[in-house]
Amino acid sequence: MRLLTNRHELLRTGLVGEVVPPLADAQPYQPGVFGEPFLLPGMGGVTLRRVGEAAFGWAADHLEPGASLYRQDPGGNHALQFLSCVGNRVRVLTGGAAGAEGRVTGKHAYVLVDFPLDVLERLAVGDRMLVRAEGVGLRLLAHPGVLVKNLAPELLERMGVRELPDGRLGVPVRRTIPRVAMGAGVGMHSDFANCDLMFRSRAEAERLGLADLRIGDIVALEDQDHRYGRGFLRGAFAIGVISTGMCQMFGHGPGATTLLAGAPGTIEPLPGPSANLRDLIWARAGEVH
Amino acid sequence: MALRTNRDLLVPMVLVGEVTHPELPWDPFLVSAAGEPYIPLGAGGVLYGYGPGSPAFAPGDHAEPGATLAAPGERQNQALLGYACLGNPATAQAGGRSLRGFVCGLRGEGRGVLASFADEDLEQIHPGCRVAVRCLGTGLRLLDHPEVSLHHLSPGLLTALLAEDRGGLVAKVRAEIPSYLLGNGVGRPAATWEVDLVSDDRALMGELGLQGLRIGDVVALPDWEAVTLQGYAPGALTIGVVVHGDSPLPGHGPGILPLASTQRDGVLRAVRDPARPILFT
Repeated sequence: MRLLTNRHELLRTGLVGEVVPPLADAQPYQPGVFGEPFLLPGMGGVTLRRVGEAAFGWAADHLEPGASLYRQDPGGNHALQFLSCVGNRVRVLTGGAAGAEGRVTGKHAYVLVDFPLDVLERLAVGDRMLVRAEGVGLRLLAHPGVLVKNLAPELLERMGVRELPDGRLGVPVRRTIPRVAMGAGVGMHSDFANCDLMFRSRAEAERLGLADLRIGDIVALEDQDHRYGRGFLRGAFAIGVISTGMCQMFGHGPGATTLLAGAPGTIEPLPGPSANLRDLIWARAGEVH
Repeated sequence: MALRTNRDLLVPMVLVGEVTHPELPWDPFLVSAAGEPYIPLGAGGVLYGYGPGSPAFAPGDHAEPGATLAAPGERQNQALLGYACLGNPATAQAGGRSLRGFVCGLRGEGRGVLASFADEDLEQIHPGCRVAVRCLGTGLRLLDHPEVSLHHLSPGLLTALLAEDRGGLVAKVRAEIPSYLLGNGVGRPAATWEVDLVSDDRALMGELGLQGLRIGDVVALPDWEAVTLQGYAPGALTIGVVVHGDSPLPGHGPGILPLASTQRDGVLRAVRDPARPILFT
C-alpha cells in the first residue's frame, strides 16, 4: 500500500556546496578509546569509500564516505546542511568530474555525497556541486506521530515502509541499535549531522550485535526520541542511516543520520537484511555502478 | 587514614574571569522535547537565590548556580575551564569590596566556570564583575590508586568525596544514573565538559528517584568512563556532582561533572545513601 504523504506540496531548491579540505590542528593527536593518542584521516575531502562497505576495519577516524560538502559563508552553509536530504540528487559543477551525478547519503556537519569510484577518483577539494534539495517539510499524512527528517521523498518510497494492522509504521532495518550505544550527538539537532554509536572495541560491538554494520545501513535507534532534537523516551524509535564509519575517539563511532522520528508506540522496526542505501539510492533507478 | 596524593607538587595559579552576560539570538526561541517553543533562561550571568543545595529540577534552562565566569578569548577561557577546580576560592570585586566564594561547577562547550557566593554577597555581584580564581587541583593524583583518575577536585574536597575501603576506594552517592540517560556531553573531554542527565522521560525520573536531586549532590554513573573523553564503558565507574539545572531541550537535563573515574571494575565502589549531604558542606 502506498504511503500517503504531502510530497506534492514540497519545494525543490538548488544548493551549491564545495568539497571541504580536510582540517587538522597544530596539536594533531587525539585520545583514543583507551587513552592512546592517534592521528588518522577520515573527515573532509574525498574519501574513496562508498555506502555499502563495512563501517569498521579501516584505519580512519569519523570516516566520511565519498565527497564532503560545505559552504564557506555561515548562513549559506546552514541552509546547505539543514535543507539537503538523504537521497537527493547531486551534480558536479566544476573540476575534472563536472557533469557527474551523485546522491546525498548522509550528513555529518558536512553533506556526504556518494559517487561511482571512477568519479570519486577525479574529484578534488574545492570542486563545486549542485544539490537538488527536496524533503524538508515532508509529512506522513496518516502518521502524525512520526516526523520525517533529512529524507528525500523518492528514497522514502523505496525503503519498504508500510502500515501495520495495528496502525504503527513498519520500517525495514538492518539492525536495531541498543540504547546504551547512543553516543556523541545526543542533545543536538536531529535535522543536522548525525549521532554517533559508541563502543570501545570490536568485542563490545559484537556483544551489541553491531560488528557487521555497513555504511548506508538503515537502522532503528531504541528509545530515541528525535522529533525535536536527539532525546530519550522509552518506547520511541528513531530510524536512521549509518552515514559515517570507523572512528577512534571514545564516545564516538559510526554515526546515524535521522530519517524518521517517532513518538512512543508509532514505529515498529522490521527485519530488513538488505536495508542499505547502496541499493536504495542507485539500484532501482537502473544506475548500478 | 588520609588518602595519599601528590598535592605537595601541585602549583596554584590565579586566573581571572568576568561574570558573563546572558545571551540570546535575534530569534530567541528554542524547541523543547515536547515540541514547544520557549525562551531559555538560566544560563550565564548571575542567578540570585540559586546555588548549591537548590533543586536540580528547577524551572529554566541549564540554570547555573551563583555567578558564571568566563575569561576573554576562547583559549583563555579553556584554560579557566581546565584549571578551575571545585572548592577553589573565587574572589569577586563588586561595589568596592572583595567578596569571597568558591568554584561549584563548570559548563562545557566553553561556556564558563560557576562560582557560589553567600546570598548577601551574590546580591552585590553582576555581569561584568571581575572574579579571581585561585586554581589548584588539576594534576591531582591518588598515589595508592593509580587506576582512578580525578578531575576538577581541589585537594581539600577529596575526603568529602572518596574514602579508602578494603584496599579500594568508596564514594557515598545520593543516586545512581544509568548510562543510557547520559546525553549531551557524551564523547566530549571529561576535563572541560559536564554530561547532562537526559530528563525527557519525566516519568522515568520519578521511577529512578532522581526528581529530588540538588545542585552539589554526588551521584554515581555506572558503566561510564570519564578518564579522557566520556562514554559508555561496561565495568567502568564514574563519580560526579550535579552542577546545573534541568533543561527542556531533548537530550539535555541536569549537568553532571565527572570528578573521579576508573575504567577498571572493582577499584572504585559507590554506596547509595539518600541522606548524603551535598559535596560543599
